Amino acid sequence: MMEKQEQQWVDAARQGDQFAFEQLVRLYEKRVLALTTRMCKNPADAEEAAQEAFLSAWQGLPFFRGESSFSTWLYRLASNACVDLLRQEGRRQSAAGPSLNDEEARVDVPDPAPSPQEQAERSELREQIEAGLQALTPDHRQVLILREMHQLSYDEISKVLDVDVGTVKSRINRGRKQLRNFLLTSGNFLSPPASKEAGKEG
Amino acid sequence: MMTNCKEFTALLDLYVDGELSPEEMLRVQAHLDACSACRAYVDDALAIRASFPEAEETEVPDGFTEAVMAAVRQSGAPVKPVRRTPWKKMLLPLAACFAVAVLALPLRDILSGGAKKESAASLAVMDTAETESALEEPAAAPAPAAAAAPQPSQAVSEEDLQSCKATVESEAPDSQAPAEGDAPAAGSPQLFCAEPQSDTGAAPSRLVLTAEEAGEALDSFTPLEETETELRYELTAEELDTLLAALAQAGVTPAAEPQSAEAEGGTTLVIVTK
Repeated sequence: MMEKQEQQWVDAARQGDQFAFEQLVRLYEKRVLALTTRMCKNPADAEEAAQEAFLSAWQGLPFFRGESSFSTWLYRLASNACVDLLRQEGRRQSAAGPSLNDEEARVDVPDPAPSPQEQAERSELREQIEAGLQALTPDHRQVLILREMHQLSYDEISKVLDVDVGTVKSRINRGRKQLRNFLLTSGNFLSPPASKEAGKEG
Repeated sequence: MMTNCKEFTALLDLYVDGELSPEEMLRVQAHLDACSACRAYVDDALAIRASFPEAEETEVPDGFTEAVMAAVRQSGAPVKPVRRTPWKKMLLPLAACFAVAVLALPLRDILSGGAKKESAASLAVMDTAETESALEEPAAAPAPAAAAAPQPSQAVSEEDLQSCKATVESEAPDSQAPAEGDAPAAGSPQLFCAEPQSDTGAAPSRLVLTAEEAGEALDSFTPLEETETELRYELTAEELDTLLAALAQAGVTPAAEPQSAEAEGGTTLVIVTK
């Protein structure tokens, strides 16, 4: 239902219909920001990258051939915008001297609402996941976000990042392992402890 | 029971991510029933998924949509190429073109097409692809062949010249334009065409300024390095736009070199001599 509506907006925006494009912005802004917020060093960069992504989409729509879905294409633009900013940031920092501690440049992510025991545990786990994501390299972080948050397939992820599927597979594998290790070593029980003992079953 | 693990560990992520065929899924499931280590990995992956942050909960900064749409409106109707370049980018090649031409010859000679140097300058500073796409816009201001332009080897350059002349003529029909920075681009809302352009233009690889020219324009940037005689900055295309706009307002048209083959895509080295 939404897909058809979205397609109409895309077609209209492609013809220069700004109102239609605005609907696309509203439709995707959370998802795009969700990605840029976790990929950029600070909220200002995240917002800038997100705006840049949408502006690039507007400019590029006449040439968007629809080989991938609109969302995949948009995430790609967002990803590129983040990379650009990260690169700039890296240069400025290396020129300026010691770089910011990642802890200090805290990414502004929304806190889940407080609630009963199970929810509280989940909240804590979610916070830990956010922290764990920040501990990953950008490459690994990005694939996990695209996979887990945006539910993109390996194929779609490969299009977003312009890498082959094999690369996507190995990044997901490594990223997931690292995130899992981070969570386990920071005291999170992901699954019942008994199952963690390897080699005890015959 | 652990002997098959190596074969299966490679499949666990695919399993978790739904990338396996039904037969493969069943095989992995059977293995998971027998292997606690693999089972733990899968369980943990699914637990991560269950608590993974959700896009829908993202806080959108106030005014975000409005800011995007303002930029969209400002950029006008989408035009051809994929890579966006604000019209201000035209400042540099134009400015450089004029800087060289104007410094080299009186304006009247330029307008009358008498200068060979001018076409060389155009060739030298104008990236073909850049100007080609800039000139593709059908609403482009007509470029009257007011003067016999020299015949450059590239057709595009001739158009460049004519467009340059058209712009110059529209700005200063009867008198000489000042030598600097009335870089017509800065004053006129239109360059070649009615709408701002996007193009695949390559940024010039180097830009040289005196400290005087630079003034405070580079103060917000951190230099890449500093030698006894100069400060060196590396700017992205976007930063360059900002800088050029600031310089144009101050009436400065810096000298620039065209993109070299080795230069990093899209960045410009800005050198300020002390």
